[in-house]
Amino acid sequence: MSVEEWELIVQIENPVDLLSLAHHGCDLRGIYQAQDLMDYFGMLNGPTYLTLVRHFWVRSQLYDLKASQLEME
Amino acid sequence: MGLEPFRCEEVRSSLLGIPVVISVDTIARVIRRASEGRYVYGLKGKNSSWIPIVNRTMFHSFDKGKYKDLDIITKMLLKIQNENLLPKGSGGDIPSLDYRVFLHFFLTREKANVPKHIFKHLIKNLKDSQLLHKTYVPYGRLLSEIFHQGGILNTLKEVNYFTDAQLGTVTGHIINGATLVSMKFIKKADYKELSTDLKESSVISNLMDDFPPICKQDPVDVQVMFIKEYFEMTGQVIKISDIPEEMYGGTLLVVKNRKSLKRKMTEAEYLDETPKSAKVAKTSVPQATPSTSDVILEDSEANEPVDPEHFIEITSGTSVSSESSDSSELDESTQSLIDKIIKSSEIASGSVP
Repeated sequence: MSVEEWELIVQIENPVDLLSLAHHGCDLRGIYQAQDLMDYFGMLNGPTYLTLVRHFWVRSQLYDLKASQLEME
Repeated sequence: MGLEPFRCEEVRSSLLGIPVVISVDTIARVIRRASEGRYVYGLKGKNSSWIPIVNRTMFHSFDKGKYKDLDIITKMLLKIQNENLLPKGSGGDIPSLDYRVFLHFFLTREKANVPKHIFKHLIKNLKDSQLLHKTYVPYGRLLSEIFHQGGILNTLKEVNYFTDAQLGTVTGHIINGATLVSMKFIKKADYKELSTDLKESSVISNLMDDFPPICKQDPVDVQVMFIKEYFEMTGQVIKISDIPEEMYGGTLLVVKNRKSLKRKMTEAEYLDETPKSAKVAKTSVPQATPSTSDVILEDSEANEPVDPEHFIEITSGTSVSSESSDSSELDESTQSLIDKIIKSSEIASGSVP
């Protein structure tokens, strides 16, 4: 039995306001700039489509070397 | 059989018949960061050589400390890591060794292979879901962005089938200075809202083409009227909370008033406008002198204040011309009058020395 779509609990990433954090004495900008992640944090503040994510998740299959060999057989 | 060759580890799925394939490269593309840097995952055992290294970075000691021993920066990094980069559905404050090594890279500013870490974490959660029937799904926003960039939302838009309500569109909560208050790092009195503060992105997505042109800057009754009309037109309900803060595509359109338009006019534009006032002058000249001066007054009011001297000069000019009875001469005198008006306004505005 697999997990049903409606049972899934989707975690949505929380956008981070680095400027506000820096203003209040918690400056993380240097750390994330070093990791080249500023675009990532910009992307976080956007819509999440729960229905699509659930739909995608229950139909997902991992395709790795093992799976591809099985398929070949 | 149309078997696809094995290239790399992938998660394959489909959305309404459209295939979706996610690999490390997909994630790297979406977060706009190359898949490079150190990758350490799947560490096991209590004798790992990483343990003392990580303890030194996190707790500044050889032994593993507790959450309360961490400084603010580390606690915040850990929070963001647990909620965003490598989301944890549950568990304690101090994560497993893999997570701690990932945090160690951030603290020491050594470049970690973030896309690969994210992808492996996604796979781990997918396996847990399939084998252990766990209901936890991480990366809601990241997956949505992948769907968006993969053109799936565009396809849905084309068939015009889905609305945001059907898609279950939501946004996350913002981590900012207020979070520091709730985590008790700073006092409530020290927290200040900034004008630059990040606002949650508008929940209404770009799926609705005919979204009425309203925003929060409009008066409330205007918003209500638009919502009402929109409901009558389409039968769809827009919530007040769905209205964006600002108008899509920039600032509100403000109709320029005449004055500001006049002030910004160039000389060439002004000259373009003169024939219109000349027409008015033409019709009013034969009647009486006072009406002509009225026209001049109107004209001068609209532009720049005219010196009384110029004003007298012009009125005297028209009184001379009105003495002649020949219509052709009248036309000529009208022309000279117009020239004088232009000249006087030019003098008044200081364009002619």
